[in-house]
Amino acid sequence: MELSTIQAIIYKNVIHMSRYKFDLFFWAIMPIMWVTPLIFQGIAFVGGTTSESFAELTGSEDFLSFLVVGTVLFMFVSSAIWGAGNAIRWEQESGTLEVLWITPVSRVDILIGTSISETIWATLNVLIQFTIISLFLQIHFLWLGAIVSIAVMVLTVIGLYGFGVLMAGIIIVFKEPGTLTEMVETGLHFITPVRYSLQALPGWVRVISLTIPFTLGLSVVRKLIMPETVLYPTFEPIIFVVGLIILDVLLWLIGILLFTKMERFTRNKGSLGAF
Amino acid sequence: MKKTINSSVAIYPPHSLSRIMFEVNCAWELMIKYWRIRLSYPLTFLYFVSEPLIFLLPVIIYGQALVGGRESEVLANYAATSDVILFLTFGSASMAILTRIYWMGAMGIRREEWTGTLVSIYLTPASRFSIILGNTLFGLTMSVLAFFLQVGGVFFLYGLDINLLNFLPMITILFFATVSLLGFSLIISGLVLAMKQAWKFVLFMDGFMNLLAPAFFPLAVLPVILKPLAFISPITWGVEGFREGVLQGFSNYWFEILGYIVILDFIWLILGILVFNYFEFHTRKKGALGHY
Repeated sequence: MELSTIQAIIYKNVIHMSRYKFDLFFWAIMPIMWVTPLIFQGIAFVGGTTSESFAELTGSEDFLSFLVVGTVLFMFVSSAIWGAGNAIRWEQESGTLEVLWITPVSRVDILIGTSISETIWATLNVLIQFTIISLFLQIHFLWLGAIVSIAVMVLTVIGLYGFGVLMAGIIIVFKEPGTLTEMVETGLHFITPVRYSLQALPGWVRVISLTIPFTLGLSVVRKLIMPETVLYPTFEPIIFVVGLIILDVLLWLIGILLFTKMERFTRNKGSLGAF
Repeated sequence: MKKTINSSVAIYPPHSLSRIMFEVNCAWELMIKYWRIRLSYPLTFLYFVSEPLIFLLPVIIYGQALVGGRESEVLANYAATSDVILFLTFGSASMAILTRIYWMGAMGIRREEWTGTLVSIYLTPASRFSIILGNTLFGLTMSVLAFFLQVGGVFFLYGLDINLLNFLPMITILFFATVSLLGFSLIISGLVLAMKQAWKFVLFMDGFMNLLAPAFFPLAVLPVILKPLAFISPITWGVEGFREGVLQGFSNYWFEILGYIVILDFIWLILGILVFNYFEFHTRKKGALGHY
């Protein structure tokens, strides 16, 4: 691993992002527009922003805060699969992939650099979203817990980008990334506890969900900033954190292994720069 | 002798029935073309038709988590049903159909630009409106297929208590709502021609219309500040009428909604034609028709 390569990739991507300032505003606003109908839905169904039935499942009556945390932090999932997963594809589309590939640097360093720059982008989005939402809605968080949860989110993001690397390997072979990425994103939105707790899902879906870093990370973050919420299964948060660390290592190992194999396969076929 | 398209145009006077039939035929052929393209990508096709169901399931689970079952007394005060699953299914289904109609219509022009075929299509004697109508028809037919998968999926998973005869008022609303959506598509298409960066604009409009449309909540809970915008949105009354048709059939409120839609049809269609013509004229004058 060469730090200078990672640094150069981050610098390149941050420069690129800073040229599209409107994009930052756009992607900060869009998820708020997507979550607002769900807030209206809650009000129409229970007549306010608290629900006893919701508390039976999640431990918290405050579905509004529960929903906002899940939706805003889901930005990191989107960023991992759209940003890191499709990074190679963007290079392919802009015609710079082969140039980048013939430089004497490790592919893994390129992917790590891309993942870090995507994290910077996603963090800015998340901060803007939280700021805007807290201006209009009464969100009840334990702010001390929010500070501790940064460490948990770092662990979550590491795992998510391991998954992003795995996606990058698949996309480099199958080329058509849009549908695959959308399928994965929609599927993850369904099986992770973004809007509801895991107890609301069928048993077999819960098992799959518990193998996703975002499920573990989000559950712990919620527990830290909304202490009344219950974890599923009712383990101590530290068990979830240990699980998260194991998943991080596994996902990066599998991601790099698969990416290397897929990349070699594509190069042998001679279709690296092909559409 | 078999007539060519050019000779057909030459024979058919501009506003005759045969000319209209010719344009409808062009739109139909375009729709067939888009279907062929879409079916060439089975994974994309499968995702597009199943996405409304995958999208709806979390909304239903969230709704059930809120009320602790499928009945909500609070909802019954605002809507013609207390069944949250029924309410959400037809709200979401109508939203998916209507959104896809204008999305396909609006993106059609841009798609031709991407594939480099826009200039060639513009050289054919078919009207520009037929091109957008062809896209809209493709969006409509695909949406109807997705609708049956979505409603069928929910019926299979949760069960739905519906009167099949109420599909008639539902289809009537869909037909009339499509006209105003066609007008709206024309406006977006015109803007897309001029601005090029289409998907971001369409995505923003999509998000905004989603926010206004009463798909997951009754119109009554929408904040007062947003209501005027919701009232002029071509999607709002489509969703409201579609669901009212399914739940209540030809009720008084259904006729009231139909009235609103007919008025909006005139406004949006006329506005659409004017805006599209304006932007198209200026884009062609600038010579930027095939530009990215």
